[in-house]
Amino acid sequence: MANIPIIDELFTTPLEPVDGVKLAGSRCKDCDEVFLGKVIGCENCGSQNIDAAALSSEGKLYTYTVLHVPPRGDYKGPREPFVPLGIGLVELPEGCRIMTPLTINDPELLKVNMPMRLIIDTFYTDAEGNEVFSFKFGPK
Amino acid sequence: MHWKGNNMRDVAIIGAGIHKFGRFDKSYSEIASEAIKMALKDAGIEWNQVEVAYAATASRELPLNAGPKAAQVLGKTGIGISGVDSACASGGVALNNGVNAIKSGSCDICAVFGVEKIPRGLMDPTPRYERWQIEMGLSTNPSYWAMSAVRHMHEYGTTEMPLAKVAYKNHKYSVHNPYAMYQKAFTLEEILNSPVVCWPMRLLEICSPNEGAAAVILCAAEKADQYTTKPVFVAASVHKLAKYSADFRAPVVQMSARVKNDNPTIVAGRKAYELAGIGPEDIDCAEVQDTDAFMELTHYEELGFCAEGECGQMIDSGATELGGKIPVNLSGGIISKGEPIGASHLGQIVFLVWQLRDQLDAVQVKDAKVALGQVTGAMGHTAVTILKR
Repeated sequence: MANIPIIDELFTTPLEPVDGVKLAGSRCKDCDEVFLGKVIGCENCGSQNIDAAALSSEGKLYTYTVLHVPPRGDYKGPREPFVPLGIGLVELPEGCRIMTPLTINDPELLKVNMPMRLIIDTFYTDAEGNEVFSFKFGPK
Repeated sequence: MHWKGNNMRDVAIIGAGIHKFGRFDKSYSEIASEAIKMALKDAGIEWNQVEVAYAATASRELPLNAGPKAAQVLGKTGIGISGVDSACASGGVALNNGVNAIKSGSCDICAVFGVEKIPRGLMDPTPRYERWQIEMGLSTNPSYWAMSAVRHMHEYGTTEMPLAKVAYKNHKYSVHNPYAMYQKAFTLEEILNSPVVCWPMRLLEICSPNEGAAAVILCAAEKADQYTTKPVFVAASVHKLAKYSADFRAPVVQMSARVKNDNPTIVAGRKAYELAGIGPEDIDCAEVQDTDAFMELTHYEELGFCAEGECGQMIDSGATELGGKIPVNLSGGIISKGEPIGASHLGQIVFLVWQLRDQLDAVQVKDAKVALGQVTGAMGHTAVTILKR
């Protein structure tokens, strides 16, 4: 049994311990665009001259919504009953806006530009007993 | 011997047919073939006169080769029939293929149709999203549309009311469209009190994937008068994908805060106006993608019907109502018709052909000469078609 990421190469380091782990990113050495996770080429300029780059763990909320109907497919969040899910785009200082679940699901408590911080946490236990880690953002 | 240059021909629509959008206890082949038969009858031709056909489908609910299988119900005449999947723009791309086939001189008569059969509710995310996005709940299309709306509200002070007004308008006109899934008018109060799907979007403000088909028969313009006294000409047929970070359509993992590219509807619209030699001020009526009410509003801006940030004022002013400057979605839009994805753009085209032939009743735009249809969807697949009579 181990702590594993929900998708390979999502985080900068192994998840034991979780403290200090960041979202892994890629930076284009030609145009400076930054991407979540590992990318093969730069979608902006087409360069394949890419460096690994850890993403900042703080940013601001660019936009948001609250989903009130359960998603189809293998959603691993609470289903019975479904708990409305806050979703947002969080803008990081590197110049990218990451699509992410939010810790808040009340639109009255969400505001564009509010400061946000990254939370890396266990999300579910898989069939082999591994703790699967994902990310979300909450207010700073 | 010298190549004699560009011998491009104009293209006319000589037949239009549709199968109602909704939910039906019949196969996709029956649904598609009914729309094709209606288009053939409208054109006054038989299936064995069609020289090539293009089919639009965009869901995994249909088998491989669904397009050819559906059309061959009418006879295995041996013509080339190929399928197109370009998400919500599939119909526009199939039409584009047909237009180009005729322009190239490779045929004189071409059938273009779209068909879909998608179950009720949110769409299956597995064909379009990564496993981790689905597990984390980031795989519902309306949540992306809603985030786009929230940002617009922040930047321009848009409120919930313009969204409700778009839904009100489209549902209002749907009662005149016997091919719409929902033919029911709702009050603004009913719309604003309908359940939230993705805040701030409500159930009566978003479309529902469903079943249906639509078809057109294309003909070389120089031969169209052999078949019809009311040809409708394809003045522009454009397909684009979103440039990097240019669009908020699902599935998006991230957007750039540094790079700003024009939305694909702006890009495709600009190209279509250029090809047709007109501008937005020349459009007499339009059918645009109202996957949700907010999308219709942004398309007013992206297609140049109004200035950036002024879509709320445009719906308030009544400019997009029947009798207004540019009536939009007088068919009821897909908010009321539902969205059989492969068929939705061709459904727009069929309705606009009827407008340009002056054959509608309650929602006929007086003296309509130029019409625009637009769809946009996953990956920013966007099609804009301009028709002229």
